[in-house]
Amino acid sequence: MKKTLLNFLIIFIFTTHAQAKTEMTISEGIIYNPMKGSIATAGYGVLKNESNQDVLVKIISAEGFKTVELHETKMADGMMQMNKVESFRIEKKSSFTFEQGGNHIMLFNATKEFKENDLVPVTFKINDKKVVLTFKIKSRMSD
Amino acid sequence: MLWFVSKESSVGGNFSLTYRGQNWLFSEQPKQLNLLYIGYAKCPDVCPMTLSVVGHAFRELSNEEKQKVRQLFVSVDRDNDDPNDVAQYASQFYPDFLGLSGSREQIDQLVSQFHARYVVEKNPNSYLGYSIAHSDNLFFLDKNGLVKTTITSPRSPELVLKTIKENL
Repeated sequence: MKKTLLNFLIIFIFTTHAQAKTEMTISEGIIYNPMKGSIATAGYGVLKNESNQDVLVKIISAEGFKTVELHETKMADGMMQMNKVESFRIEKKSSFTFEQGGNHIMLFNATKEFKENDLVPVTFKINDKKVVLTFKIKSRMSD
Repeated sequence: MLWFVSKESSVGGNFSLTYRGQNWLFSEQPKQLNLLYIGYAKCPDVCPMTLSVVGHAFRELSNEEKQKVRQLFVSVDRDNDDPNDVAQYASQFYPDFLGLSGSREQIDQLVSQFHARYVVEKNPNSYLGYSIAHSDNLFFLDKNGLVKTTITSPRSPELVLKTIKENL
Protein backbone atom coordinates (compact mmCIF):
# COMPACT_ATOMS: atom_id res chain seq x y z
CA MET A 1 0.00 0.00 0.00
CA LYS A 2 2.82 2.36 0.95
CA LYS A 3 4.67 1.53 -2.26
CA THR A 4 1.56 2.18 -4.38
CA LEU A 5 1.01 5.52 -2.68
CA LEU A 6 4.65 6.48 -3.20
CA ASN A 7 4.47 5.56 -6.90
CA PHE A 8 1.30 7.62 -7.27
CA LEU A 9 2.96 10.61 -5.62
CA ILE A 10 6.02 10.35 -7.84
CA ILE A 11 3.88 10.17 -10.98
CA PHE A 12 1.68 13.07 -9.77
CA ILE A 13 4.65 15.30 -8.97
CA PHE A 14 6.39 14.49 -12.26
CA THR A 15 3.24 15.15 -14.32
CA THR A 16 2.45 18.40 -12.53
CA HIS A 17 6.03 19.62 -12.97
CA ALA A 18 6.00 18.75 -16.68
CA GLN A 19 2.74 20.61 -17.22
CA ALA A 20 3.94 23.72 -15.42
CA LYS A 21 7.25 23.83 -17.20
CA THR A 22 7.44 26.49 -19.90
CA GLU A 23 10.43 26.25 -22.14
CA MET A 24 10.88 29.05 -24.64
CA THR A 25 13.81 29.63 -26.95
CA ILE A 26 14.59 32.32 -29.51
CA SER A 27 16.49 31.79 -32.73
CA GLU A 28 17.74 34.49 -35.10
CA GLY A 29 16.67 37.06 -32.49
CA ILE A 30 17.71 40.50 -33.69
CA ILE A 31 16.89 44.09 -32.82
CA TYR A 32 17.70 46.71 -35.40
CA ASN A 33 20.01 49.37 -34.07
CA PRO A 34 17.85 52.49 -33.58
CA MET A 35 18.30 55.01 -36.38
CA LYS A 36 18.93 58.64 -35.61
CA GLY A 37 15.78 60.66 -36.26
CA SER A 38 13.40 57.97 -35.04
CA ILE A 39 12.52 56.90 -31.51
CA ALA A 40 11.22 53.50 -32.63
CA THR A 41 12.88 50.33 -33.80
CA ALA A 42 11.86 46.71 -34.17
CA GLY A 43 12.92 43.23 -33.16
CA TYR A 44 12.47 39.94 -34.98
CA GLY A 45 13.19 36.25 -34.56
CA VAL A 46 11.57 32.88 -34.06
CA LEU A 47 10.14 31.98 -30.66
CA LYS A 48 9.86 28.26 -30.07
CA ASN A 49 7.61 26.80 -27.42
CA GLU A 50 9.38 23.58 -26.47
CA SER A 51 6.91 22.74 -23.72
CA ASN A 52 3.94 20.41 -23.76
CA GLN A 53 1.39 23.15 -23.26
CA ASP A 54 0.08 26.13 -25.18
CA VAL A 55 1.40 29.41 -23.83
CA LEU A 56 0.41 33.06 -23.85
CA VAL A 57 3.35 35.35 -24.55
CA LYS A 58 3.49 38.94 -23.36
CA ILE A 59 6.45 41.29 -23.40
CA ILE A 60 7.64 43.20 -20.35
CA SER A 61 10.89 45.02 -21.02
CA ALA A 62 14.09 45.18 -23.03
CA GLU A 63 17.36 46.31 -21.50
CA GLY A 64 18.44 49.66 -22.95
CA PHE A 65 14.97 50.75 -24.08
CA LYS A 66 12.38 52.82 -22.29
CA THR A 67 9.51 50.59 -23.28
CA VAL A 68 8.63 47.68 -25.51
CA GLU A 69 5.42 46.39 -27.12
CA LEU A 70 4.17 43.58 -29.33
CA HIS A 71 2.80 44.74 -32.68
CA GLU A 72 1.36 43.27 -35.83
CA THR A 73 1.58 44.76 -39.30
CA LYS A 74 -0.97 43.77 -41.89
CA MET A 75 -2.24 44.97 -45.23
CA ALA A 76 -5.77 46.33 -44.98
CA ASP A 77 -7.62 48.64 -47.33
CA GLY A 78 -4.54 48.87 -49.52
CA MET A 79 -2.44 50.23 -46.66
CA MET A 80 0.04 48.74 -44.23
CA GLN A 81 -1.56 48.96 -40.79
CA MET A 82 0.23 48.51 -37.50
CA ASN A 83 -1.55 47.64 -34.27
CA LYS A 84 -0.39 46.94 -30.76
CA VAL A 85 -1.34 43.51 -29.45
CA GLU A 86 -1.23 42.47 -25.80
CA SER A 87 -0.14 38.88 -26.32
CA PHE A 88 0.44 36.06 -28.76
CA ARG A 89 -0.54 32.44 -28.22
CA ILE A 90 1.95 29.75 -29.16
CA GLU A 91 0.75 26.17 -29.27
CA LYS A 92 2.76 23.43 -27.61
CA LYS A 93 5.85 22.32 -29.54
CA SER A 94 5.28 25.13 -32.04
CA SER A 95 7.05 28.24 -33.26
CA PHE A 96 6.00 31.84 -33.63
CA THR A 97 7.79 34.12 -36.05
CA PHE A 98 8.42 37.83 -35.64
CA GLU A 99 9.15 39.01 -39.17
CA GLN A 100 9.43 42.22 -41.14
CA GLY A 101 6.04 43.30 -42.45
CA GLY A 102 4.27 41.03 -39.93
CA ASN A 103 4.32 40.43 -36.19
CA HIS A 104 7.18 42.24 -34.54
CA ILE A 105 8.54 43.62 -31.30
CA MET A 106 8.46 47.40 -31.18
CA LEU A 107 11.02 49.16 -28.99
CA PHE A 108 10.99 52.83 -28.05
CA ASN A 109 13.53 55.40 -26.91
CA ALA A 110 16.86 53.68 -26.52
CA THR A 111 18.50 54.74 -23.28
CA LYS A 112 22.01 53.92 -24.49
CA GLU A 113 24.05 53.72 -27.67
CA PHE A 114 24.25 50.26 -29.18
CA LYS A 115 26.79 48.79 -31.52
CA GLU A 116 26.65 45.84 -33.88
CA ASN A 117 26.33 42.47 -32.12
CA ASP A 118 25.56 43.94 -28.69
CA LEU A 119 23.31 41.59 -26.74
CA VAL A 120 19.95 42.81 -25.43
CA PRO A 121 18.11 40.79 -22.76
CA VAL A 122 14.37 40.97 -23.44
CA THR A 123 11.97 39.91 -20.70
CA PHE A 124 8.79 38.12 -21.71
CA LYS A 125 5.95 36.81 -19.61
CA ILE A 126 5.19 33.26 -20.64
CA ASN A 127 1.88 32.42 -19.00
CA ASP A 128 2.73 33.55 -15.45
CA LYS A 129 6.50 33.10 -15.62
CA LYS A 130 9.11 35.68 -16.55
CA VAL A 131 11.56 34.46 -19.18
CA VAL A 132 14.57 36.41 -20.42
CA LEU A 133 15.66 35.82 -24.02
CA THR A 134 18.65 37.42 -25.68
CA PHE A 135 18.50 39.38 -28.94
CA LYS A 136 21.46 40.68 -30.94
CA ILE A 137 21.76 44.25 -32.21
CA LYS A 138 22.04 44.49 -35.97
CA SER A 139 22.46 47.46 -38.28
CA ARG A 140 19.70 48.08 -40.81
CA MET A 141 22.27 48.13 -43.56
CA SER A 142 24.26 45.05 -42.53
CA ASP A 143 21.85 42.51 -44.07
CA MET B 1 6.71 38.08 -49.12
CA LEU B 2 4.44 39.30 -51.86
CA TRP B 3 5.28 42.02 -54.29
CA PHE B 4 4.41 42.99 -57.79
CA VAL B 5 5.35 45.58 -60.35
CA SER B 6 2.67 47.60 -62.06
CA LYS B 7 2.94 50.04 -64.91
CA GLU B 8 1.21 53.37 -64.57
CA SER B 9 1.09 56.51 -66.65
CA SER B 10 -0.05 60.12 -66.33
CA VAL B 11 0.13 59.87 -62.54
CA GLY B 12 2.31 62.27 -60.58
CA GLY B 13 3.96 65.44 -61.84
CA ASN B 14 5.84 68.26 -60.19
CA PHE B 15 5.38 68.81 -56.45
CA SER B 16 6.70 71.00 -53.67
CA LEU B 17 7.73 69.98 -50.15
CA THR B 18 10.35 71.03 -47.61
CA TYR B 19 13.83 69.72 -46.89
CA ARG B 20 15.13 70.54 -43.41
CA GLY B 21 12.52 73.30 -43.22
CA GLN B 22 13.48 74.92 -46.55
CA ASN B 23 11.29 74.97 -49.64
CA TRP B 24 12.02 72.11 -51.96
CA LEU B 25 10.68 71.69 -55.49
CA PHE B 26 10.89 68.44 -57.41
CA SER B 27 11.51 70.16 -60.75
CA GLU B 28 14.51 72.15 -59.51
CA GLN B 29 16.98 69.27 -59.61
CA PRO B 30 15.21 66.22 -60.99
CA LYS B 31 17.24 63.16 -61.83
CA GLN B 32 16.63 60.96 -64.80
CA LEU B 33 14.99 58.50 -62.40
CA ASN B 34 13.50 59.44 -59.02
CA LEU B 35 12.26 56.88 -56.53
CA LEU B 36 9.54 57.99 -54.12
CA TYR B 37 8.31 56.29 -50.95
CA ILE B 38 5.69 57.80 -48.65
CA GLY B 39 5.71 56.83 -44.96
CA TYR B 40 6.93 58.22 -41.64
CA ALA B 41 10.16 58.18 -39.66
CA LYS B 42 8.70 56.67 -36.49
CA CYS B 43 7.45 53.67 -38.45
CA PRO B 44 9.50 50.79 -36.99
CA ASP B 45 8.76 48.09 -39.53
CA VAL B 46 7.67 48.70 -43.12
CA CYS B 47 9.36 52.07 -43.84
CA PRO B 48 12.84 51.11 -42.63
CA MET B 49 12.51 47.75 -44.36
CA THR B 50 11.74 49.48 -47.66
CA LEU B 51 14.48 52.08 -47.28
CA SER B 52 17.04 49.40 -46.45
CA VAL B 53 15.94 47.35 -49.48
CA VAL B 54 16.42 50.41 -51.71
CA GLY B 55 19.69 51.27 -49.93
CA HIS B 56 21.06 47.83 -50.74
CA ALA B 57 19.99 48.22 -54.37
CA PHE B 58 21.71 51.63 -54.63
CA ARG B 59 24.96 50.15 -53.37
CA GLU B 60 24.96 47.82 -56.36
CA LEU B 61 24.70 50.64 -58.91
CA SER B 62 27.73 51.86 -60.86
CA ASN B 63 28.96 55.38 -60.16
CA GLU B 64 27.54 56.47 -63.51
CA GLU B 65 24.12 55.02 -62.66
CA LYS B 66 24.16 56.62 -59.20
CA GLN B 67 24.43 60.05 -60.84
CA LYS B 68 21.14 59.45 -62.64
CA VAL B 69 18.93 58.23 -59.81
CA ARG B 70 17.81 59.37 -56.37
CA GLN B 71 15.51 58.22 -53.56
CA LEU B 72 12.94 60.55 -51.98
CA PHE B 73 11.37 59.59 -48.66
CA VAL B 74 8.40 61.70 -47.62
CA SER B 75 7.09 61.72 -44.07
CA VAL B 76 3.34 62.21 -43.76
CA ASP B 77 3.73 62.56 -39.97
CA ARG B 78 3.59 66.33 -40.04
CA ASP B 79 2.79 66.57 -36.32
CA ASN B 80 5.51 64.34 -34.91
CA ASP B 81 8.40 63.99 -37.37
CA ASP B 82 10.81 66.90 -37.10
CA PRO B 83 12.02 67.83 -40.63
CA ASN B 84 15.67 67.58 -39.61
CA ASP B 85 15.01 64.15 -38.11
CA VAL B 86 13.37 62.98 -41.34
CA ALA B 87 16.37 64.17 -43.37
CA GLN B 88 18.85 62.52 -41.02
CA TYR B 89 16.80 59.34 -40.82
CA ALA B 90 16.66 58.83 -44.59
CA SER B 91 20.33 59.54 -45.16
CA GLN B 92 21.39 56.67 -42.90
CA PHE B 93 20.05 54.14 -45.39
CA TYR B 94 22.12 55.70 -48.16
CA PRO B 95 23.90 59.05 -47.91
CA ASP B 96 22.10 60.59 -50.90
CA PHE B 97 18.59 59.64 -49.81
CA LEU B 98 16.47 62.77 -49.30
CA GLY B 99 14.10 62.83 -46.33
CA LEU B 100 11.36 65.35 -47.06
CA SER B 101 8.59 66.95 -45.05
CA GLY B 102 6.01 69.60 -45.83
CA SER B 103 2.93 71.46 -44.73
CA ARG B 104 -0.24 69.45 -44.28
CA GLU B 105 -1.48 70.84 -47.59
CA GLN B 106 1.73 69.93 -49.43
CA ILE B 107 1.71 66.41 -48.03
CA ASP B 108 -1.94 65.80 -48.82
CA GLN B 109 -1.48 67.21 -52.33
CA LEU B 110 1.43 64.83 -52.91
CA VAL B 111 -0.49 61.84 -51.57
CA SER B 112 -3.46 62.66 -53.78
CA GLN B 113 -1.24 63.29 -56.82
CA PHE B 114 0.29 59.82 -56.56
CA HIS B 115 -2.96 58.05 -55.65
CA ALA B 116 -1.40 57.02 -52.36
CA ARG B 117 -3.18 56.94 -48.98
CA TYR B 118 -2.51 57.37 -45.31
CA VAL B 119 -4.65 57.38 -42.18
CA VAL B 120 -3.51 58.53 -38.74
CA GLU B 121 -4.97 56.12 -36.20
CA LYS B 122 -5.11 56.99 -32.52
CA ASN B 123 -3.74 54.21 -30.36
CA PRO B 124 -3.85 55.37 -26.72
CA ASN B 125 -2.70 51.98 -25.46
CA SER B 126 0.58 52.27 -27.31
CA TYR B 127 3.55 54.29 -26.07
CA LEU B 128 3.56 56.31 -29.30
CA GLY B 129 -0.16 57.03 -28.92
CA TYR B 130 -0.85 56.62 -32.62
CA SER B 131 0.15 54.76 -35.71
CA ILE B 132 -0.12 55.68 -39.36
CA ALA B 133 -1.53 53.25 -41.87
CA HIS B 134 -0.04 54.06 -45.26
CA SER B 135 0.34 52.82 -48.80
CA ASP B 136 3.37 50.65 -49.42
CA ASN B 137 4.37 51.74 -52.91
CA LEU B 138 7.77 52.53 -54.33
CA PHE B 139 7.16 54.89 -57.24
CA PHE B 140 9.67 55.32 -60.06
CA LEU B 141 9.33 58.83 -61.49
CA ASP B 142 10.78 60.32 -64.64
CA LYS B 143 12.40 63.76 -64.67
CA ASN B 144 8.93 65.36 -64.88
CA GLY B 145 7.71 63.53 -61.81
CA LEU B 146 5.44 61.21 -63.78
CA VAL B 147 5.21 57.64 -62.58
CA LYS B 148 6.98 55.23 -64.92
CA THR B 149 6.37 52.17 -62.81
CA THR B 150 5.55 51.14 -59.24
CA ILE B 151 6.62 48.31 -56.99
CA THR B 152 4.01 47.51 -54.36
CA SER B 153 5.44 46.16 -51.08
CA PRO B 154 9.08 46.34 -52.16
CA ARG B 155 10.92 43.58 -50.32
CA SER B 156 13.64 42.55 -52.75
CA PRO B 157 16.80 44.62 -53.40
CA GLU B 158 17.30 42.58 -56.57
CA LEU B 159 13.90 43.61 -57.93
CA VAL B 160 14.50 47.26 -57.06
CA LEU B 161 17.93 47.14 -58.71
CA LYS B 162 16.52 45.48 -61.83
CA THR B 163 13.70 48.01 -62.03
CA ILE B 164 16.12 50.93 -61.66
CA LYS B 165 18.34 49.60 -64.44
CA GLU B 166 15.34 48.98 -66.71
CA ASN B 167 14.17 52.56 -66.27
CA LEU B 168 17.46 54.44 -66.60
